[in-house]
Amino acid sequence: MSATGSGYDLSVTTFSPDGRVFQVEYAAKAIEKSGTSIGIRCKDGVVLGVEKAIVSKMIMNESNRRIYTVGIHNGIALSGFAADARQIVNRGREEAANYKSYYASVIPGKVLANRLAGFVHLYTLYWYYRPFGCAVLIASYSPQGEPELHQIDPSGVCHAYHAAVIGKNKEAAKSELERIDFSTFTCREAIREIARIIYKLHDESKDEDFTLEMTWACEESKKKHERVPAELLESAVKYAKDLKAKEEQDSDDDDDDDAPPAST
Amino acid sequence: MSMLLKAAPMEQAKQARQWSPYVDNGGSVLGVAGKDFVVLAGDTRMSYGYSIASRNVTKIVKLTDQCVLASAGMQSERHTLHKVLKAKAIMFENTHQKQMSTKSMSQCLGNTLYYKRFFPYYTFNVLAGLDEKGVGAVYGYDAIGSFERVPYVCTGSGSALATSILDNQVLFKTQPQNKRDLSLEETVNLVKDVFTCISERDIYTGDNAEIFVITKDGIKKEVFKLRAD
Repeated sequence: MSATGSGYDLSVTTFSPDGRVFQVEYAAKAIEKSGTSIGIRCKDGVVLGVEKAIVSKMIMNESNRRIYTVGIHNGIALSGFAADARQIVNRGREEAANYKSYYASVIPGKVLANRLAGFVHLYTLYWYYRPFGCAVLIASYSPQGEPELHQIDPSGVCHAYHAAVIGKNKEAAKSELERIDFSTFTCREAIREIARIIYKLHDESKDEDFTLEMTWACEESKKKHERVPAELLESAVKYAKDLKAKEEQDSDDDDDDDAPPAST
Repeated sequence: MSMLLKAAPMEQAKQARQWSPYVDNGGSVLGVAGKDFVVLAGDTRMSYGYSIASRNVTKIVKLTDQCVLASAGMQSERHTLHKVLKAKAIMFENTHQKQMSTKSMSQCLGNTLYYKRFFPYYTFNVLAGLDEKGVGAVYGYDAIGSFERVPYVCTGSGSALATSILDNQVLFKTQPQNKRDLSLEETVNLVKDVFTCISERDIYTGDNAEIFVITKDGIKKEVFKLRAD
């Protein structure tokens, strides 16, 4: 396991001798077990996709939301403690409404992200709060602006990304995403790509069954943040499953061609 | 007991004037919107009672490259309000990397005024600028931030004198058969004439009129002489 904080990790208001705040780092750990969330900022919009583990067969479909809409043009996808993230979403909705009432215009993605980052950061400053155990991806496409994707960590750090991943299999997903040419990538391509990556990295033997939740804010959706149309999602899922099946078959075939059977 | 029932002797009702935090420094301000331009003008006279405190005080402030604000009423309130709004414009530009749109500025001003609902800014504001489509926009306000986008508005001491003229000459209310859009030059000339008219009858308006014209090419200012009496 990771090095113990040995006494410097008991409070979020304590630094360790090498300048770390362990509580914030531990908060980040809470996210690593959670389902993967991927966001891709394309030429014509932003797409968010989340691998939602099926916690119980009794849960009604669509009840376990992992992506929320904030102020019509923004979407927030979460990984980590869902209840914590819900607070961030609610705050985001307040910020968007407040901005509208003050400036009579839609909150730009950058402003929303920075405000939420400040909010998350707040919870790392006081001993009577604990940090948020979740990270969020914020997709924005405001009418007067360009597509934007931001990520907020439990530490309150916020950056704009071409593509971002949070949750398990983060590293593997990142290397897949690095292959994309973002200058020409469209939202429709992104939907297929996200589905492909999530299915590829999902390990049937280790991970639970899951469903894919996907949303976008793009030209086609008139810059509003909405669920990806059902047919598009279905065809993307089918493409991802077929591709995965094909790759598994190819690797099985390769295994057969390789080393001869061990027995004499 | 009978002592209590006797009415106390009536005192002379004291007519002493209670101190007021407000004073009216007079002056008029008007804005007219066009298809792709706006004209905003304000006189430069500052009065104090029946005296002239200054002949050369501006009522207008530039908030963004496409938006100006003019306020009639109390000079010190106006000065502070303009400073506050300018600060908000700069802070917005710093966080957003672009200037506030005229619409956003109009909302911001309305909120700023209402914030002091129970000790209002004694200012009667007119905001003028180009909207997001490049069309001229003029917003008229009351002292506590109620606002509305209008084709033209006049506030201040000469407002009553000017508004009817503008009804006639901008919207052709009394002559609908002649209704047409005014060009930039016609509008500027109209504004000059209106100010000349106001100065004839309103003692608080005169000296000079600053006329700001906003088009997509920027903001131009002209100073127009008015009666000095």
